[in-house]
Amino acid sequence: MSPGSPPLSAPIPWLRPYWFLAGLGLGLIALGWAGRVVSRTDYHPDFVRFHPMISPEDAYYPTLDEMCAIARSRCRPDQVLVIVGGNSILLGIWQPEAEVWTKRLQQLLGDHYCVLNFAFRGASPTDGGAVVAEALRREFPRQILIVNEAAITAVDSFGREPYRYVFWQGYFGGRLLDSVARTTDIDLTVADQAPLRRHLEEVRPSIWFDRVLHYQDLWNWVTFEWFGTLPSPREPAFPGYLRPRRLYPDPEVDGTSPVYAKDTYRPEAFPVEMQILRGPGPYYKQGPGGTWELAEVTRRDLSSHLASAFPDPLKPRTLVLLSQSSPFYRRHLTPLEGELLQRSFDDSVQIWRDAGYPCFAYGSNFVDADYGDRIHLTKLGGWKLAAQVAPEVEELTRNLGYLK
Amino acid sequence: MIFTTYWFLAFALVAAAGFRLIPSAWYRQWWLVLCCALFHWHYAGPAGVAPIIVLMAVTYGAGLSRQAWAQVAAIVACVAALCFYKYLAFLIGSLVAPLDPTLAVRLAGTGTRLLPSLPPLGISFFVFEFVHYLIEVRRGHEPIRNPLRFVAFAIFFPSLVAGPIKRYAQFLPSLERAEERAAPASDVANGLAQVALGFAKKLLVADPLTTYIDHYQPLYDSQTLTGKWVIFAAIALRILTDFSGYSDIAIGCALVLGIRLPANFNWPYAACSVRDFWTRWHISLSLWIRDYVYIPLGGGRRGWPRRILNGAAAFALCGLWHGPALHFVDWGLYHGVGLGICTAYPHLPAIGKPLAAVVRRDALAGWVLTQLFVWVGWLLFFYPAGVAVHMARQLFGL
Amino acid sequence: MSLAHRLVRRLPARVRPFLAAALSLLAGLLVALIFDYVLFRIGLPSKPFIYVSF
Repeated sequence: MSPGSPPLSAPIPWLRPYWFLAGLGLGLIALGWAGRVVSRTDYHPDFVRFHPMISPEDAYYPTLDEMCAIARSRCRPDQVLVIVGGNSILLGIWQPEAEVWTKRLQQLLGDHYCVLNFAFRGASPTDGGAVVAEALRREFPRQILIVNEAAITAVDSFGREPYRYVFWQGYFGGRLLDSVARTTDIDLTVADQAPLRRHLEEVRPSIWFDRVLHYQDLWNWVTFEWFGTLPSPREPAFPGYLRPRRLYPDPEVDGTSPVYAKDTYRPEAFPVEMQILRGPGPYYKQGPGGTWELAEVTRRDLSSHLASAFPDPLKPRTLVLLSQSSPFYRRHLTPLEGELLQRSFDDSVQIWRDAGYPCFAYGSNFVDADYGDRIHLTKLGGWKLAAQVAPEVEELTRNLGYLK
Repeated sequence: MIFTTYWFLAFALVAAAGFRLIPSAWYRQWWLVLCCALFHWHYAGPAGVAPIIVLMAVTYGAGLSRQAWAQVAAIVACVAALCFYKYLAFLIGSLVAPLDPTLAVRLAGTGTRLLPSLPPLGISFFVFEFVHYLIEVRRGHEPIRNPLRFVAFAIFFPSLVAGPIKRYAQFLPSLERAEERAAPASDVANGLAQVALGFAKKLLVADPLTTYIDHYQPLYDSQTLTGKWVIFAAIALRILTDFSGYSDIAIGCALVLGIRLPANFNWPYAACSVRDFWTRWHISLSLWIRDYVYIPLGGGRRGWPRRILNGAAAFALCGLWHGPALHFVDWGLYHGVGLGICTAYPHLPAIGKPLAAVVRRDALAGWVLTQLFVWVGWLLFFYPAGVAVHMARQLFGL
Repeated sequence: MSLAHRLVRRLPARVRPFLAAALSLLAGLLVALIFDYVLFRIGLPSKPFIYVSF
């Protein structure tokens, strides 16, 4: 052999193997047990909503068990569980924590209901709160899910990144309803997208490991309660990221305050926002009478997506809100464009209802001060929204036979 | 990063459990080979598996043939495959483009059509191992006759992705022992401890440092002097913990199976000379370069000017091995020249001997100079030469 | 001889096996903690999610 082969790695001289392996085994059992206990514990005593420092935006990924534990600790068996899912609009950007619209909704609905805000920024209707509601359907059969979406927008039945992990926790954990339509939707998408296929090759073993060791819940609890372990966009440096997440307050500001006037309705965002308002344009053509007609292929595509977005038994209890844009932008549309926009909302409401979901659009009669930007509501708008949603929830409750 | 995936952890658990529980040596041999093949297939895909199958067959056959021409041809084939898959674009860009840009564009287009999107998994490692194997067999050592053992040597999953670069004469006896009987508890315990250490280095140190560097390095110019030195130290610490962590995971996994791999790192930032550094950093690679490039070039046997030249050439190749980019070559040359100076400076007239005496007397001086040299070298490793020089100058207020 | 070696040699010979066993047990517990954390950490996306309101 050539001069001097590389030296082999040396064993640890003091290591007693059987004691080590015993420690390893005991350690894993103890950690698994601790994780199991934590997964059933609500350690968010002041929970109002998932603000950035306790959300995937800052590398904190609330688990399905974590959210279920929050629901269990707050909702009594005699209450109707009202879970608010959806995106940043229902999360309440521009609404300070103490005045978020879901608190107002709780006030209006009263003690027969328990309202929980499980919305996430950038989430879809089938993310976050939707998965929690479905996973808790047996424990809380009297439940209403409130979600939101834009007009003429399809919905995937298995959420959207970066929140899809919650869906997979429910799906591969056997906690969701069997739905042929949804399973078919997932299988077709996976067959079509190699990156998703590769991703699921990771997701499945991770859920097996987690079912035994409950490590996600355990380390979330450590990160929230004791110390962080990894950098995040808002805390990229050591030792800043060691701070436990419970010490970070909800950063949402009051969009009605003059202090933030320069941040709301930013002029540089105007062109982009107007482009979004004109978004439904390509899906419409003008009919013989001058009315706007939605393209049949779009209608069919939307209907088929919505049909499989939620399992059939859950559709009647899923209240869909379609979020209208601020009048600050709408009044810059031409009359034709305004008509088109309104038509897109009317069509969308009808398509959702035809698919079996209670649905309404809000915001047409809101004013500038109700919004902090094109789409997010200030506390004024939030309270108006709560005032519109509360009677819808009560009517749904009656129709579903939840309260006699 | 392959080791930090759930699929790998689940796979490693099943592979190790099977290897341990299977009672027969023959079946255990098959189990290991099948696991290695499955690992390779899963991570490399069909396009990545084909080259290694071909090169394995060529190398195995050439080794058994005992024909010098066959072994040389196999070495050429392996090196050509490495150049094709990993360095084609770089060679076209640096050798052809300056002479004939039009031809370079045509060749690059052809290359893009022929090449897979990524080089075959572990090609840098298995080509070096095949070349080592063929050279040793050519020198008269016994080839590997058992095809299963050869396959295990070629695609041994713990070391395939990021080393260490194995020597077959060390690997085979260890493999045979592991096949004959289950790994003793001490190997399993030490292996698991080393795997844990590797993960701790990677996830608790290297990854946060990477986030820190990615965030602050673009803002380097606006940092205070202390901030610049912190970024500088973070770059040095990151590469050590990342790379040595990966090696620890590989060595630990192998040890759980009862197979010993060579050590790859030995406290490199404790080195007091550049020469010492290269006996502690990526040991398996530096010894390979020494044995199969530096010594065949003549090593240090023809006077110190030739020694410096051979060292520079060997290290330029070492740098290029890390990646198809000029700054890797710059880094390699930097170390080659540094190593040459480290070896040659005591021979300088008048000042050589006194200087060497000072460094010998004051180990701290040697350590500081060495680490400064090595850490500045990392700037060349990660950034283009212009950026690296700019960052280095700012550290010293120049 | 390292400092650790010197300290260990000062201990009575009877104590050393217990110390080795205790250290080994602790090492095992620590490794369990590391593996548990590794399982948590590798499941986290490597790129942060940057929210853009739309």
